[in-house]
Amino acid sequence: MTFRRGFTLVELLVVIGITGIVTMAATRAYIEGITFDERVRSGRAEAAEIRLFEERITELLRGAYVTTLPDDTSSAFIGDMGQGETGGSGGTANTLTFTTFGGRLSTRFLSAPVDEDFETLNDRFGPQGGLAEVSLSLTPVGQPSVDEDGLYLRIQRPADGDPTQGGYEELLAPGITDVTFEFFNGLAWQENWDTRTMTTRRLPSAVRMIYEREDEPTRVVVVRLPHSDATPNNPVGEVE
Amino acid sequence: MMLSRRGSVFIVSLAVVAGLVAVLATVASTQRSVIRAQINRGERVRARIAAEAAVQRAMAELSLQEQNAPTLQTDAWYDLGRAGADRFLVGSESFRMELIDASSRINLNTATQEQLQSLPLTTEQISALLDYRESNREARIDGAKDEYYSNLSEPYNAKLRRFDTVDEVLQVKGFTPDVLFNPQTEFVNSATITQGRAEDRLPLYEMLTVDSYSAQTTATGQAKLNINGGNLTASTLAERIGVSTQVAQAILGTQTNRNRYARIGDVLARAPSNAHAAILDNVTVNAANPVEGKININTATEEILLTIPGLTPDVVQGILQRQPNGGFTQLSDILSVLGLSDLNVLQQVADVFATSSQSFLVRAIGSVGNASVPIEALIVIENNQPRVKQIRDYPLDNPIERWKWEEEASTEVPLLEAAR
Repeated sequence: MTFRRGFTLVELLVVIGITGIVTMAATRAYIEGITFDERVRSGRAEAAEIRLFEERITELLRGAYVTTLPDDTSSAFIGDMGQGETGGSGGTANTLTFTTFGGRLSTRFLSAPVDEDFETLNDRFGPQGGLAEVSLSLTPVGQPSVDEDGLYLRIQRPADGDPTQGGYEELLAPGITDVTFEFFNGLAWQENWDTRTMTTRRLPSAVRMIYEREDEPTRVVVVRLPHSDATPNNPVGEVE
Repeated sequence: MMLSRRGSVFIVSLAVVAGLVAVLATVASTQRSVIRAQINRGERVRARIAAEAAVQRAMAELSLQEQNAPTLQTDAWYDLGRAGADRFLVGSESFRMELIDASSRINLNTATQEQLQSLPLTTEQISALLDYRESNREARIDGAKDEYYSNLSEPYNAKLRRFDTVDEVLQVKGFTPDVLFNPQTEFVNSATITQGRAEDRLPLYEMLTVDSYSAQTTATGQAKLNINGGNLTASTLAERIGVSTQVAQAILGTQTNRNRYARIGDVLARAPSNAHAAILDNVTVNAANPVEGKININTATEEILLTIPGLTPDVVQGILQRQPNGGFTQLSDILSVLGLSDLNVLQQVADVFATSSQSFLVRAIGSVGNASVPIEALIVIENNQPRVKQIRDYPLDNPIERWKWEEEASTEVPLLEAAR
């Protein structure tokens, strides 16, 4: 008959203690890992959202175009202070209205079934192609379906030279609390721009958009306008 | 028994290691796709810049064009990029390009009803197109103005102005992406019957332009005479077109009752045939210079020439043969094409053609790595200086096929080396 000796109380306590510490450390590390992963994921989603927004703005601005025909008033590039603003941004433009080719035709529109006629396509996609008139502003032009703060985008096809109305409006980027636009005339950044007061309508060579979201650092987007002919040797005259 | 127990510890540690590796692998693969996406975005930006370099290359070539010179197929610009067969290398980026005379196409902003009828368009589409462009408020019977567009489910106003881009016709009643971008092989009207094989037809998008200007000068750079100009005298006209003052006076009409001419064709009808060449080279019916919407007979393709009313396939072949062999340096050169000196035909085509152009289209694809960006640009020459008027992404996915380029470039042209 063999005598089996059990554990002493001290031995048991030591084992329980060690196990507890190891388990706690492991759990903590696990939770840390999970939250880190979540943070990365949401950060990535947010970055993707910001990138989509900034790419859209870039695409619209890159297509900015004004005709040089003297009697054609349908195209314009106007950056100034919107109505009803108290001037918190120090007189710089916070509203931008311009005519643009505005990116490519949508793939869904182009690949619509051949037997769909003009009216059906209009119902599904609205007017397409050509020069669009675009407004970017924190104050919606019309009565938006959602009453929310953010940057509103109004698109009107065809451009009619009247920036105060018409077209379709959407909330492009919710949560934006402040936005300013600046315009490079070839030599220096200007606070506003208006092709309607120019004898020859010319575009700035670049546009800088500075915007803020709540509790987020300020972001800056700079877009070069390929349709501009402004260079340091041939700058656009002082804007009134 | 002891052995198997020791083994179990080994298996447990293996399982733990495997779990850790699996976690690491997942993290690594998501990181990899994120980095890949980042690289792709960077490459697209660089490819776009390469495509824009192609536009600059075109500008450089066009700035070498002599002012008032005819725009010919034998010019240097015509071969630039050899329709995508050359790949220009700039560091790790590259571009392929083609330069096209915009005046080889039909101008959407000046095309008359008669010219549009030779395109694969229904009479309703033609009426709607003209209604959309013209500023008067009265719609044609089969056309459309605001009453139609404001009743659509997504309403808007008719433009009533010139088109800014070709794809703007998608706003016009009856124009779908299929009508604009696909060859209308099934389409039959009186004009298309005389035209070549259906499968060779071009899509409307590749036949149209919104901008085409030609100089209104003689081969020596002298301004043409405006036959409707109030102070043009019979003796000036007689001297320029080589007829007697009496004949010139008969063309002009009496002092109190001057003849008004809408077309050069009408002037030709009143003049003796030995003056036709001089009239074609020296006379216009309006003061505009440059004049918009003429088709450059030197660069027009077979598809476009076949749409011109009055031109038979035989005459078209005659024109095509001459294009790469000296071309037409002045408008009177068309008289040497068999069938064109016939007054009936000449009257129809005299107002259609020019021999030079001041508007050009650039097709270019910029590439780097896996990314490629196709663009189209419109360059206009104003005051002897080329200027980029429009630069846009090509709207469709298969530019190489649509532009009829070779799948791959056959020659590489390093640009940086050339500059050194």
